[in-house]
Amino acid sequence: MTIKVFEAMGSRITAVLDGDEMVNAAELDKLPQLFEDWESALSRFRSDSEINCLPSSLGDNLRASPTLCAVLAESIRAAEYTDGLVIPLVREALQAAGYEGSFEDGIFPPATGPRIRIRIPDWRKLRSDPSLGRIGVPEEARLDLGGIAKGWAADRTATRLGRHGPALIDAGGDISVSGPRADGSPWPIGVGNPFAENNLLLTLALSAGGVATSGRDYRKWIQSGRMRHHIIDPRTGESAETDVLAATVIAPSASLAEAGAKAALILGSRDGTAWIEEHPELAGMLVLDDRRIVYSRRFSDYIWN
Amino acid sequence: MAPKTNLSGTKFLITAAAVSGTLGGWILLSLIGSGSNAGNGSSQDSAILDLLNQPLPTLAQPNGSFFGPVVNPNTPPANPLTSQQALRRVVAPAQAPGAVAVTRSSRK
Repeated sequence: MTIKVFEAMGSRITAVLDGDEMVNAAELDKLPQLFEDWESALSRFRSDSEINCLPSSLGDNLRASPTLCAVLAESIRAAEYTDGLVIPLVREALQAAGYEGSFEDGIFPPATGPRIRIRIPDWRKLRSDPSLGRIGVPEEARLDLGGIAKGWAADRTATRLGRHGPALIDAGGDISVSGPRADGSPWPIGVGNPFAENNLLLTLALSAGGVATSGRDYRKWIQSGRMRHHIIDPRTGESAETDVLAATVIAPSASLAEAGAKAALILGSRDGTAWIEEHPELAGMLVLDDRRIVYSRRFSDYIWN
Repeated sequence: MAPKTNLSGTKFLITAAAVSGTLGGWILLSLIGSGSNAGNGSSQDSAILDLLNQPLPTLAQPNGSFFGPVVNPNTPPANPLTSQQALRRVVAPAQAPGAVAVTRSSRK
């Protein structure tokens, strides 16, 4: 088993290939550049990224790179899947909440500042046609694909590496696997404890698909005396009011898992669990503020025991 | 039952109070874990849940509330669980493999 660890997309990326070590090393060494290319198109923190250089007057027929087309298409699927709870159009609301820079760059939101409620653009106006290299974005909107990009990148990389052997990609906690390990066993994947860094709540056994965790335990700050976090509820345009501290979802892909986890967190424990149960392809675990944990019925299928 | 101790000697006990209601099959756990006992997933002492007796069950209480009682194993509940309220104890076992990766909220 060969492991490659590097930094990209504001996160630590871990790629694992379970097979011939010589082949593994060569393939894994290509990944940092691949992620760099993706980040140069998608990052909202880079002034020269493609999404930051889109025309100021957006429209429904913009030329875009294959990467931007693909990730926007994935974001539209996530929006449809979550009925608008997970959308790439909360950037201004996030900035209004005080989240201007990157935590990884040490730029933390200020503790004071006016609260401004932002109207969220209509995600139904989003378009992406990868075959034509064209996208459509509401005129008043600014894209933020950070929420879905890591899951998409993990899925894309797992598919790529999977041609060479069983692979696992961890993109900042969004994890995708190409299939079971070489010996047929599942991949052991820990679920972090949001109350204690470097502590695991449990270990999952994952043979296909992806898993992701959305939480407000890390990227949080005080604004005008009120606790804020980076997960915006598009229905209100503000940090989600929820009793869920962290949501972990297993899904057929990491990007779907990321969307599912965020949706469940935004919905809160009661509606979030109901929503997961309505989707038979999902399994979820919600850690609540009061330290309770709620499992979906299907989640037990994935607990390593 | 007393809290189990895992390989690192750190107490990590999770009690499952399995309850359900209208959705059926949702399970509440009360976390009583303390300290860091799992590292970054590379060691054998990764704290995982291992269900004693049987896998996590799907337990439906037709008339139960969605959220059931959370049970602290160190303190007998004021209102003992009825036979309809299944209590399951899960501990951090030693046989779990070290996690290859860890999912958590986004951070560096």
